[in-house]
Amino acid sequence: MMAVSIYSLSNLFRIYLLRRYIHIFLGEEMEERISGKEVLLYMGFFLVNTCMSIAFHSVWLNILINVAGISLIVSIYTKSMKTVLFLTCFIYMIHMVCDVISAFLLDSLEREISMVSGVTTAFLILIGELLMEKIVNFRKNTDEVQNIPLIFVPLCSMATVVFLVSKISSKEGRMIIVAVSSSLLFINFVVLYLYNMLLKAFHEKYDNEILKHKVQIYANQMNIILQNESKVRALKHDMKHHMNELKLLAIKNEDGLIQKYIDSMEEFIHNPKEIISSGNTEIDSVLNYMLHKAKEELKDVNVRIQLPKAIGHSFDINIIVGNLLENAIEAAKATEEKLLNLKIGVKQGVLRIEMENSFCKELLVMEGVGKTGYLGDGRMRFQTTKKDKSEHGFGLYNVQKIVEKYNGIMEAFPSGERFFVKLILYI
Amino acid sequence: MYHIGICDDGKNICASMEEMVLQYAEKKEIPVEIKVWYTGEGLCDYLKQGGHIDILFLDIELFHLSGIEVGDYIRNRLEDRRMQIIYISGMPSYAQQLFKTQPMDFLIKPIEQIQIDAALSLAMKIVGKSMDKFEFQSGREYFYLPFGNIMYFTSEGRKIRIVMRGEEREFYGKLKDVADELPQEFIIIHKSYVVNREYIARYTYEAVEMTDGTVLNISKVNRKQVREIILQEGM
Repeated sequence: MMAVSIYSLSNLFRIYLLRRYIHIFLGEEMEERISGKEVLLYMGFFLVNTCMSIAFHSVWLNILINVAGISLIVSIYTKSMKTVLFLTCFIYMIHMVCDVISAFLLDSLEREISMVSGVTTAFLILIGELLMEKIVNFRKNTDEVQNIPLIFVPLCSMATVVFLVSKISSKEGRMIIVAVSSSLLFINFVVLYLYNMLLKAFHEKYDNEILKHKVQIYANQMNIILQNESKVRALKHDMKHHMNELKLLAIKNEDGLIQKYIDSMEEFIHNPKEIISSGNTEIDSVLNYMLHKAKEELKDVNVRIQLPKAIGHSFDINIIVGNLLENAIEAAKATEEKLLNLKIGVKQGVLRIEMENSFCKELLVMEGVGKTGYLGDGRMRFQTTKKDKSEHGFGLYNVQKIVEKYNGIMEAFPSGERFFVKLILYI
Repeated sequence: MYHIGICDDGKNICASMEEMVLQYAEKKEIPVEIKVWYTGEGLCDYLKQGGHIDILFLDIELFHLSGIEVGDYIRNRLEDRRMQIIYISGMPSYAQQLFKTQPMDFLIKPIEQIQIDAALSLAMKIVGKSMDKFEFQSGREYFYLPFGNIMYFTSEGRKIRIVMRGEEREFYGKLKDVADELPQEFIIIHKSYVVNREYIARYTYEAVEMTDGTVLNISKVNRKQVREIILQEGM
């Protein structure tokens, strides 16, 4: 009875881990919420798997059920046969390896407690999963919360179980081992759950940050529009007066004064806060907001924007432009030159952004970056020049991620006292 | 000799632009012939009667026929893809359709000499290159085609087909050998396609759409390379 309950408990934990494994690889295709269909499938797999292995003790049957179950579960997340095959093999391989390791560990102690081998296997699988997650996230260059310390939880749990097994051999002792194992399993589960909650809260905070930023930007654009409106109204109101004035000057043949007068009218209507008016309200608002900031803090700001009024992906383009400008202004501010050049254009279905800013070489620390700013895999790794690392939330990584989303490419490299960013993406 | 056209409904602007173009031509010692129109209709009539223009400065806000309509007429009715169109406008925003007429550049009034210089230098480079000729042998005869007329090369078996606007030519050869001889505007997108970038209406990561509507696939091996070329192209 004890053996059955501990076995099914560890099996349940193992199946929960299965979902985490799949999530590592198919994270983007999976829904946040767990659907009823998913729960049913996992529970079904768990019941069949547990009953069969307890009833028959057949290795081959066990393998068959596991492979079939895993592939069935994977196939609800993806339609690609190749992916299903790969993930099933991969996950099953890890399970086997963990099984073998834990059997080997316990066997070497020459104690006949096969029931806890399921528990140690589950811990090993969890360790494997956490490592895997780290590797995949590192490859994808995502900035997730560190999860390496988390590995100590299953590691210590496993060590405890193995230690207990090696020390205790009496009948009553087994009871203790089973109790400790089950509570350790439970603790591991709770820790994982809390960790997930933490991640979620972190993401929400990040989203809020973006939203706040956006609201600010829109408010700014709204202001510009209102200001323009009131200026036009004022000009209209005074039109008759202006006309008379100009007519009088024309009668007197005062060409110089006419020119001056028109210039002053032009200056009146000009809104210094409206730097860009490409007609694309969304992108205009970000540019006006950021460039206004740039003009306040920098000396030499040159901008050239050629954008159609309607453009796809303007939300993502805004994130790119906002991030790049924020970094550039931050860097250029600290220099003598205080220079920023920005060019944005659309041609042949390709959006192109080119930016150049002055920067202090000393502030930029690079890790193994080649001349072009590429690492071997075509990614860049620049260390933030910001003092507060937690501010680094909006960075080149995010830009890179969006550029990749649209199959684009980005290049960022320092050259002398200037820092260059060039990117294209298909729209 | 470059044929340069200026079309704007403001006579003063036309005069000052003509002046600036002449100044550039004199400085660089390039022979130019400048023609000026105040309406889009006048310009279209001239082109319809077989008039030739290499580089056109075209105002967007013309009376009656707008600059965009003129651009559309040149590209789609007259099927002239070689003419370099530089739009000029008093407003900094652009309509979506404008981008379909393959503009080379936009200038916003007031226009300064330095902008004219930059636009002309680039336009002349493009026009000048397209005047060079591609040489090939078919049977015992040699043929010459201006590079600027060629949309793309495609290979079918041992044959190479040259696709131009409404016209095609064939000869025997290897596409790889041909590609080595071609100027920079031509890019290899597939083992059987080499295309002239001037004739690409739209890029995606997987394919290019040519100005005549043909869609040609970019093969998987070439995608990254093509993307790199676009990135390095500059504004």
